[in-house]
Amino acid sequence: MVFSDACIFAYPQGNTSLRRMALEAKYLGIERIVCAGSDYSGDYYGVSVLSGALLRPSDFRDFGKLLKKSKKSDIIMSYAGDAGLNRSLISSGKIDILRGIESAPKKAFDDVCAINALEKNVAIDICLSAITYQRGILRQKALISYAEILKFHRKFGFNITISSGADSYIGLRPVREIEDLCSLFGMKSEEVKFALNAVDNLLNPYSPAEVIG
Amino acid sequence: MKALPPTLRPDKRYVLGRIVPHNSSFDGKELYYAIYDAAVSLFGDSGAYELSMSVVFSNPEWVIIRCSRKSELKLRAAVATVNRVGKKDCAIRCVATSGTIAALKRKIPPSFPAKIIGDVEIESTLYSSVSVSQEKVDLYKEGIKHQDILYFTREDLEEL
Repeated sequence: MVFSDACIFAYPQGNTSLRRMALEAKYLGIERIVCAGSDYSGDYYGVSVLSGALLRPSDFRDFGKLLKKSKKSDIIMSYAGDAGLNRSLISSGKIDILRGIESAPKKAFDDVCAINALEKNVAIDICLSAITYQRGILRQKALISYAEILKFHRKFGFNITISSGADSYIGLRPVREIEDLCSLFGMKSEEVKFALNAVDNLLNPYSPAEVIG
Repeated sequence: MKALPPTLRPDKRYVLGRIVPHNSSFDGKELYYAIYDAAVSLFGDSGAYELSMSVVFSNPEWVIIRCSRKSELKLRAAVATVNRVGKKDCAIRCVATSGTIAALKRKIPPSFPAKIIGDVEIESTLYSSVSVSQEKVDLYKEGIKHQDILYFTREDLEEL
């Protein structure tokens, strides 16, 4: 299993260099990080670094424009919007991870989205910064939406990724702490470990065996 | 009031937490208020009361927090949501849980003394650099309102 942090922001978006992020991630038991806005993909201190493109489209047409403008990246992520946009984003199969589901409107993610996410191998992201940095009603909303996503995940079996959303190494979370935070909305330890490995499933999707010759 | 005999006292657990960034020097009171605030925000007043937590030891890098037995998981979740102590951004990472303070103190490794390296210029801004381990370098810029900190490595500085 390769435990991955599905979205971090390194310098200049944050205050920590990508190398330092990788070094700190190594000490925390994370073996792969996806750096949004970075075009580097490789290896630092034994931690695999993937480049990520993070898009914030207002509608699906806008998504097409943003995707054309963005640099070629290992992982393409998009912020969630209303139900229509989410369905279009997921069913297009052009994104790997749908982020920001906690700040999307109510019923923005439904069973149709869940089935499409499974078919198109799109993961839904659980961003821990929504739990750690927010307080009060915003955190309650985030916990409710993550619990809903978890229900859909248990029923339909699509991938869930977990990200710290850290822009500083202070925001990175060790695996044990991730388990503690995810237990707040009812995620079990095995499910957390499966979710931490989900980036690997996105890069190497499961496909049935084929007879070559 | 007469103290309870040892057999009737509630069981306690101690959680060792590492404070990041490395150079933070908070006193126990500041840490207690930050953790208690996080616990109240997450579990409410009654939930925070059930933890019956207190900070029993702290130094610039480590903190030991006491809580009631079987509430370690709750405490760790609350500690994970601490992102600011006083006016400084910081996090507390729970490292170990034990039944005695002595066992946790044995797990605290010797600290690496920070060394001042010199000044570094990044995008025409001068930072003073401090080495906090063999690879890690923190860069400080003193501003009028607050201090800007960048977290780099030695290799990053060599590349600049």
